[in-house]
Amino acid sequence: MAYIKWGFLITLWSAFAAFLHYTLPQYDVVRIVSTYEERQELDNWKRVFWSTPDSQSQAAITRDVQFIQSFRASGDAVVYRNEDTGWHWPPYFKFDTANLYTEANDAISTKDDPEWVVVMHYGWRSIFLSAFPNAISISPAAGPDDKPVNWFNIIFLTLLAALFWAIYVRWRRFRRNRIDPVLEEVEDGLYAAGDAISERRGRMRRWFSSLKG
Amino acid sequence: MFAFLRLSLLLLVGLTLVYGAVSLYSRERRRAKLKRRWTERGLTGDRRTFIQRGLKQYDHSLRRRLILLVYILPLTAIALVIYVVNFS
Repeated sequence: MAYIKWGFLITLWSAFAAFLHYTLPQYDVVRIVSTYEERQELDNWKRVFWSTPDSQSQAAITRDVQFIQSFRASGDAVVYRNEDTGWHWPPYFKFDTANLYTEANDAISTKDDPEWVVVMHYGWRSIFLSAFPNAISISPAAGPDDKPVNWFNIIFLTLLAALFWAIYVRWRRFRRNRIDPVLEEVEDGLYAAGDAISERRGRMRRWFSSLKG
Repeated sequence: MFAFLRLSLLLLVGLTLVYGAVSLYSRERRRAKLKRRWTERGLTGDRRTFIQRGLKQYDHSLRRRLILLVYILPLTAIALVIYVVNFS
């Protein structure tokens, strides 16, 4: 039983952690190499990792998507997609896809004369699922070793932990004050009933044995 | 446009639920506090009137109005995010 409980809890919290990791913003320091546009076939489950288009193009399963190609200082390739999130989830309210595309094109630089930029993005890169992180904004970086502090995540996660803690404490207090006494009462009642039954049974038994003589 | 309406509706319903829950919770806590104060101070007289008066005071208090932040904070946050992501 304990295994099931822990398995359940671990699964639930891992899923929640993964969800946060996918949704919360992250920063990469990269050098933008190029941008391109490609028609994407987004069928059924593949849509999960792509933005929801506005209602007009909802029915269409193919559409053009902009991409931003870049390199980290370490030499790893990073490819971002560039899509509006609009009023949909996740709540980045990004409407300036075309502007961001222009900025990305402006920031293109060569290996010999690199221009380092910070790309804020959310999402995962998966080569098997063809999933790409969505770039949200581009800003200049101090250099290839720049490490931007993710203030938003620090504050957000702290507040989230505080909220969970507040709810947990109140729930425990509620259980101690309101639910546990009731359960105990029921338990006491059951025990009392059990005692009464066994006592009666004892009496019956004595009566029977007295008959037998 | 449809997405915007859907978001507005979801926010309205969700935030109203939160607002209602927080309001009830806060009022019940005030009631418990008044009851405790009654017994602690060993007050005499009509206990019910005492609590009713305390709750009426609570209804006009700043603390109750602060619960409106349940609506204000998320909407401000959304406006801020829209500004930061698109215009700065």
